[in-house]
Parts: sequence; C-alpha cells; structure tokens
Amino acid sequence: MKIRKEFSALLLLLSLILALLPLTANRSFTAKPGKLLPEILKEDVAVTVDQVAELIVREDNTFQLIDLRSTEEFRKQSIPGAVNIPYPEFIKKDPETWLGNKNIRTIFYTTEDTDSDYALVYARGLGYDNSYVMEGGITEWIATVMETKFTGERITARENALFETRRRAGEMFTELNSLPDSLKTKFLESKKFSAKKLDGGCE
Amino acid sequence: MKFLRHYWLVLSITLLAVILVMIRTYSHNFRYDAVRWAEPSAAGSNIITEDQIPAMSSDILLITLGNEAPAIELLQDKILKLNPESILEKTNLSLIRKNKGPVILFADDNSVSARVWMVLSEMGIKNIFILQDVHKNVLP
Repeated sequence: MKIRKEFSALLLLLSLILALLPLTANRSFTAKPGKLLPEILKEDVAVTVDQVAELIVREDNTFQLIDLRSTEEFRKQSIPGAVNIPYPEFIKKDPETWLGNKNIRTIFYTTEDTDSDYALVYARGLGYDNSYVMEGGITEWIATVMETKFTGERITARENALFETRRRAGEMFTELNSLPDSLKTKFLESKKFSAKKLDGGCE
Repeated sequence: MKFLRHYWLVLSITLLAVILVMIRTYSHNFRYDAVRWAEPSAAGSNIITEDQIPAMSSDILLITLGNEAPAIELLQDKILKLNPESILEKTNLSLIRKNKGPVILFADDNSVSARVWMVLSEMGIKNIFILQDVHKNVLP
C-alpha cells in the first residue's frame, strides 16, 4: 500500500513538472504567428528619419531611441538621446528593462542593416507593441538630415518647417558628436533643462 | 492488468499532462526560449551570400518574397515565389517544414526577409537562411 502511494505521488509530481516545464523556461513569443506577421509587415511600424528629427527637436519624452550598433560605433557617432544596446545584448537580456514602459514608444535603429528589423519582430513578438524601426538607420539620417540643402528659388511653409527641423536636429547631432563621451550625457540633460526654462510659465 | 487497474487514475493524469505539453510544444505557434531561436541573427550565421550556395546540400528551397529573384543558375528550378503575408499559409508552411535541405529567403528589401526570418525561426524552423548581396532577375 505504501509503495503504491509513493508511486502515485511520484507520477503526479512528474505530471506537474511536465505541465509547468515550458512556463519556467526562458521567455517566448506571446503573439500568434498569424497575427504577428501581418503586423510587422505593415508600413506603420517604420518611422522616417524626419519624424525622428522632429521628435528630437521637440524634445518629446514619449519616445526612446535604441541604437543597436556596437558600442564602438555608437561612441563614434550617435543620434541625440539614443541609448546604446548592442543587438546581441538586446536579445539576451530581459527586454522589460528597456521596453517595460508601455507609454513610451521605442524606435530601433542601426547602420542600415537588418538588426533593427530583428529587434522589431523580437520586441513585438514578446508583446511590446510600442516598438518601431527608423527606416534606413543612421545612414539615412546622415543622408537626409545632415546633408539637407535647399536649392530651389521659392520655399513653401511646409518645406521651410521641414528644412528648419532638419537643420536644428543636425546641429544637435553635430554638437553631441563633437563632445567627449563623458560630456554627452550632460549635454542632453542641459538641453532638457534649457527647454524647461524656455517653456516658462508659473509654478 | 493488475498494475493498470491500480494506477489507472494516476496514469491517466500523467498521460493527459504529457499530451498537453506535447501540444503546446509542437503546435504551430512559437517555440519556447525566444533567445535561442534568435541567436543566429545576433551571430550573423543566418546570412548567406551567393558564394556559399554551391557548398550547400542539393535540397535547397529558395523562397522569393517579391518580384525579384537572385540570378543564380543553380537555384533556378528551386524557386518558390510567395507574398510575405502568405508564407504562414498551411501549404507553404508545410513545404518549408518538409524540405530536407536549407530554406533560403530572398527579398528585394532586406528588411522583409529579416522580419520573415525571425518569425519562422521563432516557430522552430531550423536551417533557414537569408540570401543577401546577389545579382537579381525580375520574375514574370
């Protein structure tokens, strides 16, 4: 009788372990493949460099930029406000740390390669639907924002606004990347501080 | 028989648990451990170029996700043209899973092949690659 009870207990324990095993394994995609695929192929998961430039110039705090390139590349040149998480590190660590705040949109970028696309699918697959990619990466940023020129005779108000945004974002990029690493963070903080002062108003 | 009569309840529970675990693990949804399936993308081992194709097995399945196909003579009779959105349809997925050799994805836009690769890889499909840096032919 005792042996029978022990055997039963052992089998039930085994069942419990089997049932719980996948749940205790590493994180897995939560979305259904049939739902995820069309979602990540939509155009609206990509933002243009001009949209990113505007967010930077406005000092919008409802988004974060994640630079997935290597630390060396990031140190050489980066977009103002970007956080560096090299792609291999991004997939290995718990994304909750970076993507946990659902009120903040995350925009990934790399040079122009596919790491940002992998990161987009990875993040959305894990349920972080507020993830986007910057089309063309930093290569497109340099070609569009940094090398912007107006060559026509007349400029419309819309073109002027776009040109002005690019110019201001470009200035911030140049200022930031001409600083030593230790001063880059301080520079960004001071930008936020001066914007607050300019906003003015009564407290 | 005596053994089964004594343990029928416990054995049924165990069997049920095993079946449920098998369904969850091998169903057509995503596999457990997302990091493991994404790792080739971090190592870059999922990217191949034209030069590597002759060294691969003869059972290659080339999937073109657009209107262009790589101009590689060796692969001309192994091309399957698909819309990226339709790759998860039952017949297409079955072709991919049953293919004995490597499955190679190709798209005009590398972003599309990268995104599709990640989805398929997380579904547990091994031996799947992205072809980059090749001359292209426009498909009819």
